Amino acid sequence: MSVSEALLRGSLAALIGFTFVGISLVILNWFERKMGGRIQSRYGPMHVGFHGILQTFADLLKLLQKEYIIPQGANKLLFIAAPFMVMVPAIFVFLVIPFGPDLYAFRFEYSLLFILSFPALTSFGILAAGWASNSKYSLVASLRTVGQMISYEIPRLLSALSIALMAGSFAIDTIVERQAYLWFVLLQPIAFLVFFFSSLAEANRMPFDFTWAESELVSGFFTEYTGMRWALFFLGEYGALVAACLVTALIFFGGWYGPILPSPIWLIVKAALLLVFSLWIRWTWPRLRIDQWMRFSWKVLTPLSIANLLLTAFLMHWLGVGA
Amino acid sequence: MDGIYFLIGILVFILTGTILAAALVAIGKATSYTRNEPEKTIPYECGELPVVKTKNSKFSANYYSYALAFLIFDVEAALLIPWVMSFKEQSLTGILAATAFLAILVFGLLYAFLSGGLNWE
Repeated sequence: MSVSEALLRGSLAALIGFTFVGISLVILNWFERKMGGRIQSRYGPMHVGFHGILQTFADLLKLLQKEYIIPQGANKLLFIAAPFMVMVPAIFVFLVIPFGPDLYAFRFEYSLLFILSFPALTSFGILAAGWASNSKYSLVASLRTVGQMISYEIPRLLSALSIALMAGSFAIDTIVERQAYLWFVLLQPIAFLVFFFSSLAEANRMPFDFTWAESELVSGFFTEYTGMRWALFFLGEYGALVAACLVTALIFFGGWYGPILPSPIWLIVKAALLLVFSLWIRWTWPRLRIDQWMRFSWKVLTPLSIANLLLTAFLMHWLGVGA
Repeated sequence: MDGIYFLIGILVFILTGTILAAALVAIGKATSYTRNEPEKTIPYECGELPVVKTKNSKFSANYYSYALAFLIFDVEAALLIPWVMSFKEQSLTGILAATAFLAILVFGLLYAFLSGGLNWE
């Protein structure tokens, strides 16, 4: 690899990440409302296009016309920079995600660690947005978010460690190759549950969206944002969700392995099914209280993931696998 | 050497991502019309006029104990990563050492649990 190739691959990864998240946002935004409507015995969007299929584009047109307001007493530099600080780290995973055996931007020996650590930079953007807005709702929401993010970082990391222990590597493509015959979700169901729920919590999805909680905090840390700046937060949030589902599909559901169809399609299908599962959770569970949810992380998920890690190590030693 | 290329890739990724996001904001600004009025820029507080500046407002963030626990467990996870990487070369002693290490941490977590440090009041 040369410098020019690295430049090309890096910029292409950003372009593909943006396009991928943008397209999935257009589909998901409609699908989520439609599905939510059906679950609650409503129709959902019906008017724009066939069964509301153009609803997202109508929303986009509305967003394009919105005014750009910077609130009084706001820290202008941070206020303008915060959406970028949320959006760009949310799609960092596209730098290392393999869509097939040889289909990746960069092969990195510790890509699982990269995926677990770098996207967490979004919490700085969230903190900046909350502080710079000069609004009490935003500040409370952003502090909550950061509290939640650091609480769920630990079980997420520990459950991913037990997967790395089984695969004997931190490289995502090696982890996928170890699942050619048996998916890790069957061997590590506890790790899967802990990892998936922590990922949803980190992506601030309902019912774990205490950062947003419109019944309590108006609109969370982006209360004061308008127009495309608001859309960037929205895009970042969906980007984090899509990334979480892609990573879960890769390390638990055998990634690109599947019969007949080409490998990227299998990965996207698996991630899409996980996305539907997360939407299902969102529309059927009520929102918890933030203190209950933080307590759940420390009192249930953390001990559970530690026990799971040790159990994996002992079983691997006694069965003589890998060790 | 590959690490340097990856680092270049990350930097270019940040640059390209920021340019694309900035382009979105620029398109939004070009297609909209902003009229600035003083009342419009007051921070939103459900229609009331803000009494205290947000910088001067005080509220209690009771979950700092979670942040302390996070620091300890993050260091622990960082120490477990080399253990996971060298698992193949280890005998039972290595696993028992990791168990002892984790047991101390779990004991600490249990203490925080029982003394009410993990409750949000």
